[in-house]
Amino acid sequence: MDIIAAVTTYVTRIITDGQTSSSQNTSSAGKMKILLLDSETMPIMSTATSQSTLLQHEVFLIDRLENANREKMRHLKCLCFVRPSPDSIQYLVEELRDPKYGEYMLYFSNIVKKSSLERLAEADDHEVVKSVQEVFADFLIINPDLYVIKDSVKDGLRIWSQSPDQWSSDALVRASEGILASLLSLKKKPLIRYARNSLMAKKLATEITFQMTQEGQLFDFRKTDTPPILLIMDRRNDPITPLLSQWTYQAMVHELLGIENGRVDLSHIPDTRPENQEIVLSADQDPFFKKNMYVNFGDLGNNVKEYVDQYQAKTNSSKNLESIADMKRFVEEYPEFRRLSGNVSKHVNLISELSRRVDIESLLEVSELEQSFACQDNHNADLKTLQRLLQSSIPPENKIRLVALYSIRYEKHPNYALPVLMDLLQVGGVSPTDCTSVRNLIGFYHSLKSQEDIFEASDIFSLASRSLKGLKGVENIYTQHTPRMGQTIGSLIKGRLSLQSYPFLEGGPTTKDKPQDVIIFMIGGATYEEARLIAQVNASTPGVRIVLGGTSMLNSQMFIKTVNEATAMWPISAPTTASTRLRREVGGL
Amino acid sequence: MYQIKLSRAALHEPVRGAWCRVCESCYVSREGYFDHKGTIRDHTSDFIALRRKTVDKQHLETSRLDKRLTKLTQVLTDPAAAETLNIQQSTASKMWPVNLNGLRNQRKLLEQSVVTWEDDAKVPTCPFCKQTFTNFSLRKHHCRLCGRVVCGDTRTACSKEVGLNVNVNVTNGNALTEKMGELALDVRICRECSGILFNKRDFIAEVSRKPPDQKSYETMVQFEKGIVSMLPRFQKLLATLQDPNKPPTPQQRSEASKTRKRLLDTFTQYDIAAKRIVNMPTDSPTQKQLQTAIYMYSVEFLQTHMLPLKALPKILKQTKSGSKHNGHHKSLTSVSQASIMDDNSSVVSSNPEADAEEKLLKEQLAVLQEQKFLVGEMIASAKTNRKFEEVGALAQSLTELDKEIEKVEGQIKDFEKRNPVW
Repeated sequence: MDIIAAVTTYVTRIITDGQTSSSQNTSSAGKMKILLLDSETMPIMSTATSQSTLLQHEVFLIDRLENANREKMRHLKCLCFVRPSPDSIQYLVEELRDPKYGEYMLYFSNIVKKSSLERLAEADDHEVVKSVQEVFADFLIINPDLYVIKDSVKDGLRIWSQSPDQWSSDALVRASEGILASLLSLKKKPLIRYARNSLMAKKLATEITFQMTQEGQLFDFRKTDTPPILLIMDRRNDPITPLLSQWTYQAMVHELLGIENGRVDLSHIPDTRPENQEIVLSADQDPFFKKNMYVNFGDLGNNVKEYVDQYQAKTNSSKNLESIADMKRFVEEYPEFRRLSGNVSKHVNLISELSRRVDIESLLEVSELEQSFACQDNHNADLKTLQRLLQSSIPPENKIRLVALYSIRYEKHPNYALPVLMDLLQVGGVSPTDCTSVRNLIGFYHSLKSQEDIFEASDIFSLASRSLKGLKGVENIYTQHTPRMGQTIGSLIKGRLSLQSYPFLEGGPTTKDKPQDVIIFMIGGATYEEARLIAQVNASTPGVRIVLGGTSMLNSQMFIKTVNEATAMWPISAPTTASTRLRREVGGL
Repeated sequence: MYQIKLSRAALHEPVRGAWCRVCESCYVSREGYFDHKGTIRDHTSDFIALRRKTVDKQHLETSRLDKRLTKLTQVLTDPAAAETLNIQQSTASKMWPVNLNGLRNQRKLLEQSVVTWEDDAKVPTCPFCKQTFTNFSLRKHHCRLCGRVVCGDTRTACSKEVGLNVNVNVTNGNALTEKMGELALDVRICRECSGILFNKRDFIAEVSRKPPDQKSYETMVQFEKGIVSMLPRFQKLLATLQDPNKPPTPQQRSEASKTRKRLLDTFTQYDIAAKRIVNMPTDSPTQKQLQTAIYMYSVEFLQTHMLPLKALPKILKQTKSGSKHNGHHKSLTSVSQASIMDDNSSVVSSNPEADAEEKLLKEQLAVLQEQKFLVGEMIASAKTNRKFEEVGALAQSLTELDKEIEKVEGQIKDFEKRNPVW
């Protein structure tokens, strides 16, 4: 269950044009290749391979299928990796009618319709197509146990349509196709469990089951001891996790700077050298990152210092070139040296930027309060701290986050003081439109009838587990919170997940066995905190393998943006009490 | 806790087995547990079957038009055929007066014998460009292959006069063929027919044509293959040289040095081939991109494969100190040492000692210069990548290399003074 390995095999297959052996040089000697991609496969390819790998396999050019200005180069061989979307098929038909290259190998990232195949066959009167294959890499890989459907701030999936229970049809198709592809690439035919309170989850589960029966031949895998489980969850059951400040490397980078398609954009940061403006964060190619992606910020500082020392030791040894022999050694080590130097400056740069942000945004203080909201039950003290922070100079988005957390946390508390806090927000320089985010978040949370209370403090089981932790010694106060997914997975792998809250699809097969392979899919987007949790469970639970998927990877900004966009389309629920009605009339919350 | 389903014979039996505790290695060694190859579905054969329909139909069409064209050219160039038709015509033409444009009419008749022409009156507009025909500005033409009425507008290219060079059949009568040899013939063909007839042929011709960059690239790949196949052999030779228990024989050393020389030559040629590709003049940005990408690849290839080769003189030196050679050659590479020993037997030289020494020095100089060149390139690339700390270290080694080169050059000059060439 290594999703990166699966996709890498696909990519290797594509760029070696289907020959599995490593002897690509012998049979297709001297054939230069061009790789054609579409808007969806471009990020898939870029997260899964590097340019030097492509060069090694004689792929010298990369272009977009929809680019009509491509030149005719008939001595090239074309590797075409596209999504079988109507647009791409149309472009491909046009391409085949007047082929720009000598031969074509077609690879589709998902199941291609019979009718599309017919259209393509009809267009290919020059007989340029040499092979047509489906490789199921229709999602973006991030970690060996983490994938998303789309990883983009600008054009992410718009999941909801007119109501909180309704998928937008494009997103439903895209999400179910993405999940199907992930199942095929992992060779799993799972039983599906879904969050009962979410109609969206049920809809998706039904859709996937339908597709799996439709494509019965494809899903004919070897028998397993116990069927794999696909667990579909809904973000609205845990709106807390994406709102919290993060303190582990990967999660923190995403929260503060944003990771998009495995890349971090640093161009807006002053004093960034040109080669560091856009950096790649990949556990696959970067050993330092692989080792430290789940490490706490505090330990990270030490590790990066060691890394720099190690680099300096190497630099010194390379400076003392006293003899020809030394020099030769240096020349031999040079490529490795160069790689190391690039990587060191990349991480130093990144970490110093993180620590600058922590300082100027008083993130330590903010985070402490967040954790207190999330894990303690101390209304009056929390409220006081919150009021003080709202009057301080922390950035407005942090204030919104704090108020939103407060309102979700203490909603039922007798001294619930949201109106006061909203006033404080406006006084503190937060624009009125941003203030509505808080209301939107609450609406978003309430659009799903909650199963249990999402905060640990009021859950007796987690209280008990927390007191157990207390015996082992105090954990880092900034990382006390564990996502709600933690409990769910915990009971799932013990075979104790309640059939009430996570039923199997009605009428389908069920199992009472403890699952061995689990795929979790989060509608509305997963977080890196959850990704870290999954990685920990994978490492600490023998015999259990879990892969996490999501419609996107959230940080607090993206989450609030998603919520605002989604709730804007929903009908405004009728105010339930006179006071809310009055408040709405008056204009505030 | 690891649990799998086992049959009574304690074999893995996922369907009917009973849950049993197992150890980790049994758990993970279940078939397919580490299967990282995702599902793949191959539609190639389906696709080819679907395509066959189109292709067959088209093939039929093409061969039909092909036949017509052959017939047409035969009729038009074969006087005998014309003769027979002429006779037919003359017998027929008794009914009406002989046309003034007899010759043109004759050709027309010949052409119409291949395919019946569409009636002019029925076609008010061109079937391709939909322009309305007029008497003068847009006249009607007939496609000689399908007989349809089309326009002859040069802008829309609905039909064109296609120039054909027809090889006249030799058996048609010696006197005539010798006079004409090859007959040029213009035939009006509509867009559709010419597409069916020529598109595929043109395409195949173009695909099989190799532009210069493709040729150079193939040369480069040839060298690359040579290097890749030579390297393991060379490494094996080196391994025997390095064996501490057995001092290498002269033959082994000479073979190693020869292979090394050949390798280095191939590397040079490879480099030249790559440079030729990147320096090819071109106006197109894509072509430029292609050439640069190939060059980038070649640089990487050289860096990974050529650098280990640099370690060679050092290794050979070490093996030499183990062997029993005279003292004052110690600083010299034994690569050339081996070659002297070969030479000694055959080449008659009045002063073999000095000759050999000069040769060694020159070889050393060559190696040094090669390294200097390499370091120079690295500095350049480090500069373009703005990695200045590396530039410093590299520049230092460059000055050291310069010093070394100077020293060796000085020694060579000394030698030449002492031993003038005869």
